[in-house]
Amino acid sequence: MTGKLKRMLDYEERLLSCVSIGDCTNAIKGLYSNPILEATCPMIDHGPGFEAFLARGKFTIARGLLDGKLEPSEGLAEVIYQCTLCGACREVCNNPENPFMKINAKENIIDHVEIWEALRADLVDAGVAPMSRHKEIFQHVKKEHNPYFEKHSERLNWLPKDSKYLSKGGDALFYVGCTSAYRLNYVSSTFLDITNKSKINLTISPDEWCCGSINLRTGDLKIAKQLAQHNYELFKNSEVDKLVTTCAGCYRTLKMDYPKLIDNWEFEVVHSIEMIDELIKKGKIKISNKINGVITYHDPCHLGRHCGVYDAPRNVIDAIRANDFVEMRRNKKYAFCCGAGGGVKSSFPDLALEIAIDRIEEAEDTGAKYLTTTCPFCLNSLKDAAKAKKSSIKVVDLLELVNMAI
Amino acid sequence: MGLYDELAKIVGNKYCSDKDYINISYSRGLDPVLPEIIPQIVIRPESTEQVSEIVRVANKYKAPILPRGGGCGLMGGSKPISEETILVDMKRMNKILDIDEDNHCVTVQCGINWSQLNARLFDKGYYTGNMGPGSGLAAAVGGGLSHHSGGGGGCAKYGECTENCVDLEIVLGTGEVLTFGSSASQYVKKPFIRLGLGPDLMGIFLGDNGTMGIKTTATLKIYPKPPYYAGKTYLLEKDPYENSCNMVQEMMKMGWTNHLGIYDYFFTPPPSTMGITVENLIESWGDISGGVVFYVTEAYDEKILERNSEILENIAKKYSTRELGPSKEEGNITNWFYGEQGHWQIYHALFSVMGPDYFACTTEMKVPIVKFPEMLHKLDDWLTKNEEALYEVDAEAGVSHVVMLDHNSCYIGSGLSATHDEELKEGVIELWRNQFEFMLKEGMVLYMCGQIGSQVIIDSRVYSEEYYNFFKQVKKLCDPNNLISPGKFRF
Repeated sequence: MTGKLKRMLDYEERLLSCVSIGDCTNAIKGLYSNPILEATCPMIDHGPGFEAFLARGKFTIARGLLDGKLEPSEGLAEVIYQCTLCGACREVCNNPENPFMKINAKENIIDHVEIWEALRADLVDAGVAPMSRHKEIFQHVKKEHNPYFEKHSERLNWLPKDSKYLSKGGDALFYVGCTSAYRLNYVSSTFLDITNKSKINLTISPDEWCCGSINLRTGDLKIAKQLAQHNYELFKNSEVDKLVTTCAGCYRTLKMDYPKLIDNWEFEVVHSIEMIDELIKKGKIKISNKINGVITYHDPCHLGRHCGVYDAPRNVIDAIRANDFVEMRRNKKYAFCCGAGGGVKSSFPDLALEIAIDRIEEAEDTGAKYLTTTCPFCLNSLKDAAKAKKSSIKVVDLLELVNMAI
Repeated sequence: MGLYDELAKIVGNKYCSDKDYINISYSRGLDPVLPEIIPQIVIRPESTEQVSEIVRVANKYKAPILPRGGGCGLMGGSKPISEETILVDMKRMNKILDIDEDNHCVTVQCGINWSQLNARLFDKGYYTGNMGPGSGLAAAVGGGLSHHSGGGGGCAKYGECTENCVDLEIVLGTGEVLTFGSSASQYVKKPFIRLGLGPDLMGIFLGDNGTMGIKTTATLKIYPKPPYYAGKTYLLEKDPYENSCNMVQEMMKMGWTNHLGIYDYFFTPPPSTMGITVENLIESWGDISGGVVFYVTEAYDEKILERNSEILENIAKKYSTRELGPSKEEGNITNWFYGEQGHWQIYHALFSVMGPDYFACTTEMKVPIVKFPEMLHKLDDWLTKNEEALYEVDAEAGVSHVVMLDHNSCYIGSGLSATHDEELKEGVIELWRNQFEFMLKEGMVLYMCGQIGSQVIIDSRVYSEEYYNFFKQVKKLCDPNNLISPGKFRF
């Protein structure tokens, strides 16, 4: 069977580097109200909570597959896919954070999320994955280049009639992404509105395809590569050096995954909030109506833990707020996931909702009027949770507040 | 209705598994060589009542039970010994039931881990004093109490964690639930003290390696966390074993924990072959040759701290070559592990620094402080004698640390480091057992037992026959069908 687990074989040393210490299962250091290290895997308190659902258990499962103690099965795959790939396990893994230590285990494992994605890809190759809903999504992505069962030809229907954009050149290409194109499209129009007001010229292309994030996260590398290749050709022909996106998932994919999928990848990738942070600092965006009401911020995993963008959104909040900004207890690299990532929202919607409700409760504890974020996928998840919980907190994209403030 | 169905009825299907791909995650511990056996069922109860029902069902089917906390055992304590095992994952029982600041006690479900508990206590200005085991932040209170754990921090000042246990609720092997400590009185409303109602029967369940019953609720002492601390690190080039011991002895004569506020005191021998000592661990120690001592002292008053630090430094200077510090950049690691990291789990940083799949088979043993230099020399001799055998199984041996316990004892962090290589495992286990036996017969006692340590005690005839017979009778009283953690102590 190991012949079908090529990636796990390649990663064997990394798998063996997990010595089972179990920090990923619920460790915390420092004050509870202000931890200096905290395991925030959503599966600790949601779902059945067996170790198999946590990082230590998944390493053991992967070893079991290589040792022949386990055979790939649909049941096993169902466990492996109940993970949002948020990367909280990586942050807490054997994490001495001692700058004076020469070596530590985390360096051996390198990147947990990469291993979970590779395991999923192996399970796909073994014919026991992905989940049935993911298969339906793959089919549609192949045909219409989006995971929302929408038509490709309607991708730019969100564009307001009076908005200005280019078909080539300008300051950057605005990579809209599927969620911002087909679902929460006011995020896209808000961003375009802000950039129009700031005299930033963006190219938008009707030929943009899904970035492939859902495929990469759920083990379908073949379609992901096709999508990446198409988008790369599109970017090359757009006469830009820079790509900007409002979606943390697209950002992670373009910034972290595309360079691995595309030879000679040469584009600068920025998130919209990084661009706005720069524009505010340069005085190109003037804040004239500061936002009243306490604000809190949810770090999207793809933007925060995966790409290390923590300061830009906080700088922007500082610039636009009239009242306090209150961090949630779990923030930045120990931020709790919204529950939607890694294909969980599409295949395990109840689990995703339960996790998101947990996050809403944490946001409510801050006393905030606004729960902001910088990812339409997180936004969607948190909005669903706020609605289910009948919460009075206003879940908004940070771009909406910026637009209100200028 | 079969075993699985009866168990699932207690906790719901969601929290009961008979799937190998789920249960395999409970086959591992922190040692790399003891057999990794997949339990037939894993169950996650949330209450004492559910644990009691699980034990009653296990009795009906005569199925062995293994309680597991954080799964951080270094000696196989949380590893199933047979495939028939019902593994009881206690981590769902993780609630803090009461923080009684007036009585200076905290009552918890035993599945909570020490780090979660202390993080919440820190918020209120308290801590548990001893911070549990040194085997990881995920280690559970129940596991710590089952192993007399101490190495997680604070054991010089507060002793092992079991010394701070005031009340303990146990599910016996019959399913019966009993509480030991002051709550054994039907008239005590809140637990406050361990002794006072006759003999200390709670002691039977402390350090029992989970054999006498399942720990479900515990009340522990809590202490106000001192706001001031200081820590020093010293290099000892000459006769490091003897000089570190003499340093401690002189500090002890000054009332080192009671009057000078010593919280923790560690001695790290010169570079050992276990690979987790000075040679390749702390970069800021540089290219040194010798042993290293580091200690932390706490105080509630700044001036008292200054004076105590001065007294301790004067003693330390007499026995050391030079100070590594005072800054962390110059090698004073105490500021890092106590000050910045929440002051426990110095070992935590050591795990798996040896590289992929290379981890310790520890034989940690307790000795009187006055005897540890002699024992370290004997361990060096053991290493020389077994050099070839170690080489053959790709293992190394040595001592990584000596940690002072309260009063007159310390424990030696000794053992082997070995790999996951299937073909070499048997040889590693043989050497591991050999070192256990060697140390026990030199008059040391086990810091923790787990699976392998508890078995070596019996196999090496460390107990007299009369003692072991008595022990077995106590076990029979607590667990008549020998269902809880069978195999340990050769039960």
